[in-house]
Amino acid sequence: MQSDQLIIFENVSKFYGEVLGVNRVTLAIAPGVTSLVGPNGAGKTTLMNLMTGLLRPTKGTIRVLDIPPSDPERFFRNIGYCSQFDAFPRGLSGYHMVHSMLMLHGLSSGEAEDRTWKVLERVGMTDAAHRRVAGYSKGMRQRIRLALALAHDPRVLVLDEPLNGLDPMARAEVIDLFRKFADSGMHVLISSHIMHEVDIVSDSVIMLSGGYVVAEGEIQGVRHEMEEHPIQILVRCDRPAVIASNVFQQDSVVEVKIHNDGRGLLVSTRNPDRFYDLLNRIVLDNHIAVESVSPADENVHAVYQYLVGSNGTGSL
Amino acid sequence: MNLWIRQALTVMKVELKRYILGRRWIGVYLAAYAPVALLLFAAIQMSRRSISISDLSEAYAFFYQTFMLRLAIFFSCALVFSQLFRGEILEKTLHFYMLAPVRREVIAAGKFLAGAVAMSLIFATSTILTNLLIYAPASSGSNFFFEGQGIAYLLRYVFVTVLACVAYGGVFTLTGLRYRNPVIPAIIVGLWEAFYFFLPESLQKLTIMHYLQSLLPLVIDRGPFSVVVDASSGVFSVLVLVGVAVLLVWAAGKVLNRTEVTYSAD
Repeated sequence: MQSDQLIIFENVSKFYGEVLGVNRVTLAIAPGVTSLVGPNGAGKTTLMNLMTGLLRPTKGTIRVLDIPPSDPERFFRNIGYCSQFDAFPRGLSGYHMVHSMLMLHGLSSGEAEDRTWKVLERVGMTDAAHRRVAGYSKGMRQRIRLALALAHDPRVLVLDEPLNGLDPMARAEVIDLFRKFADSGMHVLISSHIMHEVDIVSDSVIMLSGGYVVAEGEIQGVRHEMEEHPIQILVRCDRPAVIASNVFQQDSVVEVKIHNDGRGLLVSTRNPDRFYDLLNRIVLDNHIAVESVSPADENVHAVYQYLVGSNGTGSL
Repeated sequence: MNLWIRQALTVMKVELKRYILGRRWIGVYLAAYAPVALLLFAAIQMSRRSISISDLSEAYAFFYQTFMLRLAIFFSCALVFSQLFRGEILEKTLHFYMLAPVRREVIAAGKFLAGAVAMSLIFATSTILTNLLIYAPASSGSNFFFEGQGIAYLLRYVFVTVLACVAYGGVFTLTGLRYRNPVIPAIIVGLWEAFYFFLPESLQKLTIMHYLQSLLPLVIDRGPFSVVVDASSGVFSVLVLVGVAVLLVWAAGKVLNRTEVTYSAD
């Protein structure tokens, strides 16, 4: 993929005095939804602030779609950042905030007005548009931040904990929106401590711990590279004991647990491809009715636990 | 209209909307309009007296150069312009501008313009009102304005007021961004400017006050220890004052270019 379609970090380090923010980060992020995962202090927000030019790297270079942050006019036309900073300028309404930002993008007042209403409608803020932001609830402020990030139709959307303060219905809508953006070829970078929601929507993941990138790529790929942790596969069927007694003929199967309800089993294997072949044969030979077969730990949460030994909850 | 000008005007409008009626500026309004109230009271008490116009002109020159320029305008500029960026950092709102596709010099210019327009309006009206009110008690006050030099004097005072806001605005836009505690540079600049007349000629020409003074209609006596320096020409003084402001605002833009948004460190 060409560099004008990638977000590139080249050996980037950021120190706050003597405190490490992130260290030796080298990444090439392709379009799609990419989630940043890590506990408090892992470096997620630092990475996002570096990516959006709010921080300058102590070492290394960053280019977003081949544009350096030192060229703000081009850079910020392509980036929308929904930060975690919760303060808003005093005395301004949500409408005024978005409208002014669009004027700064060079739109005429009329164009800015049309776009402001469209984006406020998209985030469900038309009714409160003319109220001062100071009187908004946390969720409303979050929606205005989202509106500010989306208003100019950026090619890269960076979202630091974008689901905070949103009710479950709004979360589902926003996640759906992110998916649509990614499907249209945009970069959507999300940091969130709500891992199962990130898991559903992400194409790839960047796992951070203590300022270092500990893993990156598609979540399945990352999981499969972790040879020391056998992959767990959940099989729901009518005769799990038959499968259990047969799978041990394979060296790569290290553990089998039959569910208490007698309708399934959990297999740990170092070679999932061979296991699936064997499972097919066992099922056909023994006429077993299979309800479902699914990986049990190919998700962000499990992978993070294996890699870092932490549950990965919390945010920077 | 050029994009940079439109962006600077947008920043200016946002800033004016945010601050002009805010509590932060109460001190500025007091500094500007308290003398108006005092002179109005005096004018009512002393109406239609035969006071010499030249005495009143000297009294106003003294009032304007000591109170208005050195105290009211100077410290109001220090308060307002220092807060243009420092206030954003303290309120954790600087990132809104830093995420906009705008050259940092344009942001600095927009913010400076907001401060300059607001301060010029406030202090120009104060200058006009105090100037009119000081001549009000004199029976020949209206003649001075309609047939004498009154209007010319008034226009020069207003012009100097605007230039003072512009030049000091430039200084404090930069110091507000450059220093975490802008009070210290404000005090240093304040002392330098207030006692400029004790400095040797070459150093006096490095003060803003020298060029403002050069444009005023009357010179007041500074006492026996002051160093008397010839006034610079009007055009040169205006160019220096505007040039200094432009240079300092451009420098503020450069500082902003290197500024990171790390609120916790500030």
